[in-house]
Amino acid sequence: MTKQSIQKVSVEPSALLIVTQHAASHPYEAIHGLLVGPMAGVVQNAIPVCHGTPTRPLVETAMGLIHNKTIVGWYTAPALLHDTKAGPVALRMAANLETKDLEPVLLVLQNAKLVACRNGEGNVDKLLEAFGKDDLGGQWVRPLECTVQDASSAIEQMKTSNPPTIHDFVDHLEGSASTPWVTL
Amino acid sequence: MDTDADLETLVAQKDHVNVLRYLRVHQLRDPSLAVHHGQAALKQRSLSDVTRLAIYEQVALAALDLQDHTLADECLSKLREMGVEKESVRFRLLLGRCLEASGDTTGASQLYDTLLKENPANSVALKRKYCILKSQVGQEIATVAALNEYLQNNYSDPAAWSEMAKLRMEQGDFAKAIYAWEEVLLSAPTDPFVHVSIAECYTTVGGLDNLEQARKHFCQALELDASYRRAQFGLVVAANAYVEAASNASKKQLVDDFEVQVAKELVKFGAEQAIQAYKGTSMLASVQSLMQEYTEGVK
Repeated sequence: MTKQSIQKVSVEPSALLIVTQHAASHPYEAIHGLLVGPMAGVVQNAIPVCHGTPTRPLVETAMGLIHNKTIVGWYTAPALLHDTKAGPVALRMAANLETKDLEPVLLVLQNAKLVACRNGEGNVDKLLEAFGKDDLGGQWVRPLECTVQDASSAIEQMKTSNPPTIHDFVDHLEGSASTPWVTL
Repeated sequence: MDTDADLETLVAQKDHVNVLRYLRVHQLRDPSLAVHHGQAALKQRSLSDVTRLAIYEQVALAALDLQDHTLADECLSKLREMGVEKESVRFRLLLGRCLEASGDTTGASQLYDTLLKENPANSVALKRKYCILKSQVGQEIATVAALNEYLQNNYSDPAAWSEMAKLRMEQGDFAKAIYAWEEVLLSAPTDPFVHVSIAECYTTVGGLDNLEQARKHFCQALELDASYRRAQFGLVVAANAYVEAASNASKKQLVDDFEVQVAKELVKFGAEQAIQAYKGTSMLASVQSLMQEYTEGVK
């Protein structure tokens, strides 16, 4: 079957919450993680991988520990509040996830919008910017339509004053073997 | 002053001055604590002028962390009232920090440039210039240049080299990140985290020579801390990558069969260590399954 170029992305609220909580748990660094779902363009859940810059050993091990799930993309949030674009490493990660059967999506969390949402001043519209593969340059810079399912409940959960701390894979490795890592 | 007292004891004793000293000496960043104890200490009439000046400076910086610009401005005014000259280098550095916090990065940069004209080796001004650039979107090239300028004057600053390494990694330039991490390693040869950071960069760059270096650094990290799981997994990945690279090597590349055997043994060793580390945890099955894939692959 020929791989189709994705045009839009649907994101479950559970995935959005993990992405936003991951960013809130590491407010001074870029964060990165994997997206899983039943098929390309449908994001059911997010697996936080690291804060800082992802490296091959971290990503390869994290992917290896996720069993029987389809990886449908990569997410990132820039370190700076007003930075809205994915860095070069996130772009490279998205490209490396492509297979002959699936075009991954790259989701970029908009930090300033997240602050507004958590303060009850905004909605989830454009909270996540989604990108697919650009046909010309092969980079993940082609904007995609991104819809968050059940957006209102996602906002309500984001407004909580004490959001749970999300441990990514690096937190898990640097902590004890029992340090929980958000997996499926 | 009880020099052995910990912070909790000093706080309980309401020893405000020594709480502030403790925060400074141990380089702890707790602005709420600093402001609370600083304001309490400043009410004491018995303080010497030197101590009072230091407290105003510390409270000002803590206030900036809490975005309490009013308090920071009050501290600046008090410093001037106590006779600190506005041309004082230390006062201007503090003023620069206040300008940065209020968003006037242009004014702060100009102030630091003036300080650097007076003394090109003013390391605090160089650091602040770097921090201003790092906080701005789209200034990656200038940020690296500013940090390079600092490092030219402070070549043996491991924290700055660590900063350079992370900056390079953010930009995807893992080769230059390796160089910077190697400089950090000169100051911290027994820090397993530094060895792992270098090893992860070497693994990411790839290629037989780099993967061999990666293996060595992961092994060194485990020599220093046998329980370091990040190094255990990293060793498996790097050694496995070496075996794969060796099998895919072109005829022109010389592949040492002994090194390939070593790599295979290191995969098995790393896998055993990782499985052992996860015994009794909920992730054991996943780790066993993954490690089995790697060990089966190198048989």
